[in-house]
Amino acid sequence: MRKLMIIALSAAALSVITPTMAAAQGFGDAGCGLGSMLFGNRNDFVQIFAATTNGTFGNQTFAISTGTSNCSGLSSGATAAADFIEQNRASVATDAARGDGPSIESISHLAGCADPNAVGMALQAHYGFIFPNAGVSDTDVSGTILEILTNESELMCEHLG
Amino acid sequence: MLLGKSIKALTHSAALIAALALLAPPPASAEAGASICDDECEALLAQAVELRLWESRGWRRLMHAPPRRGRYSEAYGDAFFLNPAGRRDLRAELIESIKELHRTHGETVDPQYPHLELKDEDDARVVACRFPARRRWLKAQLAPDSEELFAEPECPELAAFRENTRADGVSVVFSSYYLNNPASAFGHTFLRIEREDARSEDRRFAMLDYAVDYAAAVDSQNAVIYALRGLFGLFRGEFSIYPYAFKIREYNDLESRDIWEYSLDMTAEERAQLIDHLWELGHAWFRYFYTRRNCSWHILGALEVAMPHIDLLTHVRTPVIPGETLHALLRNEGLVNERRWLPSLWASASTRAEPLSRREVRAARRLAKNPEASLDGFEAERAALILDLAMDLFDIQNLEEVILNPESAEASERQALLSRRASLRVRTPHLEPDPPLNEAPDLAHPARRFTVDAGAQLDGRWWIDLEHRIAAHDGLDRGTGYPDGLAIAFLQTRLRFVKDAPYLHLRDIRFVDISSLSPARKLRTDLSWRLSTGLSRPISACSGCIAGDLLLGGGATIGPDAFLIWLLPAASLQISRSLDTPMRFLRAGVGGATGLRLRISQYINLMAEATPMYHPWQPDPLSIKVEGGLRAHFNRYFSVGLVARNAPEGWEGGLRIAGHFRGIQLR
Repeated sequence: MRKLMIIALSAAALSVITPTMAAAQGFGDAGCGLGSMLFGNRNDFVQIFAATTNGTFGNQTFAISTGTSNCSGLSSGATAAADFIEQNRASVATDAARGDGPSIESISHLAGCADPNAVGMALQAHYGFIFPNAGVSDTDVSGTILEILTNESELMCEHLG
Repeated sequence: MLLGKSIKALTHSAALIAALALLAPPPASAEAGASICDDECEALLAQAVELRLWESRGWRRLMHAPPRRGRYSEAYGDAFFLNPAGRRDLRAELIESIKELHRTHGETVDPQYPHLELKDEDDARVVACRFPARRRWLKAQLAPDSEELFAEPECPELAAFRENTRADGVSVVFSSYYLNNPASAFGHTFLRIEREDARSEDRRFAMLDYAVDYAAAVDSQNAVIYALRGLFGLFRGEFSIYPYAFKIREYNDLESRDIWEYSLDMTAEERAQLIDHLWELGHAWFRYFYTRRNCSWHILGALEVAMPHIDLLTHVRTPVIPGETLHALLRNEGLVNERRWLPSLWASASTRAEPLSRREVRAARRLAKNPEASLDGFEAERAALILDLAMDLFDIQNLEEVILNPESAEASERQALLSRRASLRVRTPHLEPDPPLNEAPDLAHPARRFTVDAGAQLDGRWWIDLEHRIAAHDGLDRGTGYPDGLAIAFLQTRLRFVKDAPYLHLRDIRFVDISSLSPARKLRTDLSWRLSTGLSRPISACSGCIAGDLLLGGGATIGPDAFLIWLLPAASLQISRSLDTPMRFLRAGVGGATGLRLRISQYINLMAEATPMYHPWQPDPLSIKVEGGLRAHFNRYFSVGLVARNAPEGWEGGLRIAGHFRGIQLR
């Protein structure tokens, strides 16, 4: 019970802090901001008659010379895990609700946790804190998840300092 | 201000040249924009000339000059060429590269490029670090045993790129046919870069890998311009890098397309060279041609640079069809060591639905529309399975909206659905859908088809038909390698020889004939649709004149076992000068297309279709076109069968021989 209280308080605290942190990074409310980008021309009328190319946004975000530095480009640790969560928020929500899935395994790997199954169960148990409503920001989601992974010491997530 | 800058640059260069002139022998070459080349450099050049390195496969591949007879590079962009004339002069580019990459080895990085307007050492470093693959190749060709020659300078951005990608595996990925977007009608191929960090001892984490693809940078919203530009090379195509998770989301989840991966057997050195060459390609663009120089062509071209011992582009034929280019990989023995399948959301949903009862599936479908729907009477374990299925069904319909618009009603519904699932505190068992191996794209028949029919009409007049189709597949063709119910015909032309004058005439041209027949399943009732346009000889219209035609239909299909039975209400339009109608050369119609296709065995297909149309305001208001056939397949190349149809002249039937082949080699 006490653990839950700590997590709830931390989540509340984080939700105040992280938007400003994110703004400082220049990413805005949506954390890394990549998660909400989609590709191609989704105007169906245009597509039916015309599209003859596999289009892209032609966007600097995915240029070869800069694309791997998006978000942090790191391969493990708290920042890497946070970036991954923000980039893949919809998948994380799905897998957390199920207590299993590829995004949970990825988070577990980035955070250096001992058992992805345990991570899945922990995220499912705390689903209401992570996703209290549809409008919660990506950075809040990642902040809460990292808080949970850090505080639940039996998960043994080594890369989270 | 510009004048001031130029003067400054000139004096700067002049000062440098003066300084060097005092220290070193004068430049050996008088070429415009030539850089300083000392004795060591001259020796390397002499070696390169003797070996005629600019004609070598390795150099031509680095330059992306088409194999065999291509004389120019297909790449564009000032950043890709060290010599301003380099695109059309591979020799000049080689010489300039040797000079530059020799000069900037190790510690030495000074700005000596008048035509590149380098301001300082940082600029020069950018150029020096731009061609790591060329550097590695030149070193291997000209100075394999030297530590110093062609050694890399310090390249922080390149180093970061290498560190972030650190490929310990590479796969060619094919995302499946997607008829809702003509751009994706033939699928898409790209690369998966499997990162060393994205794995643990026994498994890979695909969501942490990278995807690299080549695609057009589309900046036009106008449909017609879009099509024309894509066909005639008026879009710039570029290489880009994405998190692989994005591609999985785009193809598997948002478009519900299967993904097939072909894992390549590459050495560490080859992978390093591929990564380095992708860095080079990041500075280039190409003219994007939908039919000739598309995603598949350039992905294979990039792989060829990394693997000198294999041939890919020489196995690619025009038109370049993504699914077909997988054959180029398989032609190189041992290159592909594994094939993997990532299920689309539909495939996942179907697998989840399998162990569920009808009642449970119904509950899932209700929940997908209304997350508050009742789950009374289901215990927690079953409720979890039902909600899992509901989540997949919901996402298939709404994921795009949820992602694009987090404030939407759909986003709230998703939140409600997922919360409900989480509150059960039951873990979803790991899903292992069975790969539909029969649909693996590398098993498909080649796209081009040539047929010869020998037949006769009821009154005994015989004929021989020759038909050619550029691409790709219809219901009677061998089904392996294609999703069931999918048909795409592109430029299909049928000519007829008869005994009497005029001996040869056109029977039918299909510019485009697409069918997407989605059989209604437990879960899924997609619209089945059909689009066909071309030139034909309409029934009951004008005694066999040729008319332009357009047919558009949408309806439903059922597919028990090996059957597909469809009913598509449709509208048609025919246009011809010979049509004497109150509507002045136009004949409109409403009706439908209905038919069946049966796979009698793995090798034999039977199909019959009737297209009745009612034409208002016509003297002869009813027309019914009927066509049927049977085909038996020996292998993926060759089949025989029967055809029958009602032509304007009356019923006819014949024997058919069909051959699928991979098309011609265009330069």
